[in-house]
Amino acid sequence: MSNLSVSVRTTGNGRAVLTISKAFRERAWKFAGMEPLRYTLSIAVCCLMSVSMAQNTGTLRMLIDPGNDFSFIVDKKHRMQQREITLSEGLHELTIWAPTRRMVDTAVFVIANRTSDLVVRLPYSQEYVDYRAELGRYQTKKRWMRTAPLFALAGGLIWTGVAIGKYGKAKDVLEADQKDYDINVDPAAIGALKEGTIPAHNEDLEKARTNLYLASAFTAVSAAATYYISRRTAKWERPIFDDKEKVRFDGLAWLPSHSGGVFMASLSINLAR
Amino acid sequence: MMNKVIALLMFCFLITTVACKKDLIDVASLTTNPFDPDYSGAPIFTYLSDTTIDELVNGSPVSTLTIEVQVHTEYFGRPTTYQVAYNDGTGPSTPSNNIPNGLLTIRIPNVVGGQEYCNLLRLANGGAYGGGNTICVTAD
Repeated sequence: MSNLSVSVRTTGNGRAVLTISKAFRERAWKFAGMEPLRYTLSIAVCCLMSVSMAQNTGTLRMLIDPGNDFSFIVDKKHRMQQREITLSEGLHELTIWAPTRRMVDTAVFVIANRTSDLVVRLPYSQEYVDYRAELGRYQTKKRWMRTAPLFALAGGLIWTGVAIGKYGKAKDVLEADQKDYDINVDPAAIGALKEGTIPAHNEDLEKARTNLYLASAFTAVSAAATYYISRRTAKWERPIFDDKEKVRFDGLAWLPSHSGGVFMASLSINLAR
Repeated sequence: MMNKVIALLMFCFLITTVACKKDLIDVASLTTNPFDPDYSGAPIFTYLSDTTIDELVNGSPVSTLTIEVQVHTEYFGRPTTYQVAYNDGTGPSTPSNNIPNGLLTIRIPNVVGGQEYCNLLRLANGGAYGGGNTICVTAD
C-alpha cells in the first residue's frame, strides 16, 4: 500500500471496510479545504453505496389469499402493495395484511437471481369473525321480525279469502231460500222453509260472517303489525365492522401521501403594531 | 299515516259489518207469498158483486146470497193449481179448475135480508192452507 491510497474490501457478511492512507487524507484536506473527518465519511458513503449496488438480488412472488387488496411491509419499513418484489439476497421480514384479515409476520430468505413464491393464506381477524356473527344474528333477527307478520298477513288474507268464499256460499243458499219462498205454492213447504230451513241457513250465514269478521280483523291487525314492524326495523342500526388490524398495520410503517407527506405550517405577523 | 290506515281499516270493517247484517233473512218479514199462512200483502180475494135470490128448495122458499169474488192469481209466484177454502177451512173447497179467470162464485143459502155475512176465504194447496182474507156482504 503506497502513501496515497484508498482501498475498499468486503467481508463475508456483506460489510465494507474502507482504508484511507494518512497521506491521502492530508492531500485531500489541502485540495478540498474540508475537514478530514467529513471528507473521509463522504468517501466512505460513496464506497458503501457502490458495494450495495453491486449486491445480488432475488425476486419474490406474492401468492397471498386474498388475491387482491393485500398490503405488506418489508423489514418493518417499506409498505408496498404489489404482487412481485425484488429484494436483496438474504433474510427479510414481511408483515402481510388485507382488509378483514389478520396481520401475518413471516421471515423470507431471498436467494440471489432466483424467483421464489411466497404462499400465505391470511386468516380472518377475530373482529371480522365476530362482526360476521353479529351481522348474521342481526340479519336473521330482522328477517324474522319482518317475515313473521308477513306470513301472518298472508295467512290472514288466505283465511279471509276462504271465509269470503264460505260466506258467499251461505249467502247464495239464503238467496235461493228467498227465491224458493217467493215462488213456492205449497203452504206446507213454505211452513217448513220458514220454520226449519231458513233459520238453519241463517245460522250458517252468521257463523260464516263471524268467521269472516275474525279473518278480516286478523288480516287488518297483521297488516298494521307488518307496517309498524317494517317501520320500526328500518331504524335498526346495522352492525359496523371496525377493522382494528388495519389500524395496527397502518401504525407499522409511515405511508407518504401523493403530495409526499409534507408538513405545512404558517406564521402570521401583525404589521399594524 | 298510520292513523289513516287504521281509520280506513276500521271504516271497511264497519261497512262490512253493516253490509253483512242485511244478508240474513228475517223470517218474520216473510209474508209476501199468498200461499204463506202468514201472508199480509194485498188482499188475495176481492169483492166484485153480490145478489140475493129466492129459490125453492124442497118446495120451501129459500134466500140464497151469491157473491162474485176475484181471486188475484197475479200475486202468485208462478202459475199453479190451487183451491179456495171457505170459512177458514171449515167450509167446502173449490178447486181452481172451477174458478175460470179467477172468478169465484160463492153461494150462501138461507140468508136473512139485511144481515151481514162474512166468509174467511183461504188459498189451499196440497192439503194445507195459505193466506186469505175475509169478504163481508149484506144480504138483500
